[in-house]
Amino acid sequence: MGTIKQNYSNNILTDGKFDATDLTGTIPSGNISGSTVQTIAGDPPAPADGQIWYNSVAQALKARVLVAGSASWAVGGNMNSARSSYSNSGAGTQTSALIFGGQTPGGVSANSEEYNGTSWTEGNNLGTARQWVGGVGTQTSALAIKGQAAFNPQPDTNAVEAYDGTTWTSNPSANKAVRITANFGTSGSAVAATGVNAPDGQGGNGTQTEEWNGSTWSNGNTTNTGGQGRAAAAAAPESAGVIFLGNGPAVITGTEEYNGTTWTSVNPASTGRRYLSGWGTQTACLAYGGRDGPGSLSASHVEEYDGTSWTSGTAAPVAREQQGTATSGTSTSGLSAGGQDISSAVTTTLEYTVSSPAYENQTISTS
Amino acid sequence: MYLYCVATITGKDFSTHEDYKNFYLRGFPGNVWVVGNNLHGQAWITRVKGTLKTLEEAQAIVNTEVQNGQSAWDALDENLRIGGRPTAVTLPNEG
Repeated sequence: MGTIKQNYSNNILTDGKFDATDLTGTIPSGNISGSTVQTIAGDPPAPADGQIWYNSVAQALKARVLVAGSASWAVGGNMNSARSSYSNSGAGTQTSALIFGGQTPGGVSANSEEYNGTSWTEGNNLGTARQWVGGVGTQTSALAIKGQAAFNPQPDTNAVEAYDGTTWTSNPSANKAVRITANFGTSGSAVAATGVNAPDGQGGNGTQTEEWNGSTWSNGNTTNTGGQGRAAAAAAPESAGVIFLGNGPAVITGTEEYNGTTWTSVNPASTGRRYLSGWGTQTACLAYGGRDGPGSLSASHVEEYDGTSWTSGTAAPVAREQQGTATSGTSTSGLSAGGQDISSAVTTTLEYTVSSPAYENQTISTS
Repeated sequence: MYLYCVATITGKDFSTHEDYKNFYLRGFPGNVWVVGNNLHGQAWITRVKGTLKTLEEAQAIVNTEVQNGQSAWDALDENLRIGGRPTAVTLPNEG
């Protein structure tokens, strides 16, 4: 019981509805008077949005208020084969995803699997098996960009393949053979930036940028920081991209935005990580998983970027690195699949969803 | 307060968005899960056919998995190692 300190006029929305999300505490029944608030033994069966009533059973003032959406994770269907060695690799959305290539316990993979929101189905293989392959696009129009066609000491490849929902076919090759690039765009207009073309552990973190215009690849301006295993807001258009985190060679937190011509360093994230997932656009994206750095384990961290700064998000239920990504996902609907836990490739799919704002019955209280 | 169990991810709906709203749930190496101890968490363990463990038992499973990861990492050729050698994981213990 306490004094009502809240000025309720601040809670009246422009449409006349009542927003009680910032109120806490309990109002005693004796403080409720007047004829405009109904006293009901319980909650009304179908309250109108914004309606206020006194619940005499719960002895609480209640209202039908708009509650903001919240982020949460769920486990999806398992992939058919456990694969890792991805870094922002894949295409599609949470309910229509495509994961291709990667590394299996037996070697470099050409497998391609499609997800329908429930289960994975084996599709036609890539023409060239490869791990650390970049991906952009949708389940029916995707690109597999560069990668590593065999284990060390090489060869990295500049090969690009296009998927039409059924078959992978060779596309014009990119200019430089590298792996673990950061990619964004669509199958018709994309950017592949940074990456490495030296044996693992021997540096070679690149700053190169290549742009795909639907017909040919051309070289763009270099990034400010060289790296590999960086992530991108993969659904961003070629003219408004952002890449973040990665390895260069120590883990980095840096963020760079691309305007179609030049890269600009902006506010960094909090926790440096490499081989992670990124989805969304330049002004609304998130970074999930990856490995924090030497001597550490895979991460479950999520950080969200709003075009200006990074904030901590809702952590995933399990830590993953080198996982595949539905690269056309949005900041409110994403998917990662496969990857590695502590040392082994896994088949797990994780679905990230931010619920839409919705009206709910809530108790109005004081603070 | 947490419960500890071992459960293998079986696929879709192993854990749902609703689960994460209703109780704490985090996975760790060795298929070890740390579960919020309320009615929802207890029901989830039943649903996924989880095997309850004490904190000490669960930690031992995680330790073994980490050691296996370290051994696998040590056995790799230096050029094939991705990231660092796995380090110890301590399960959360609240009360």
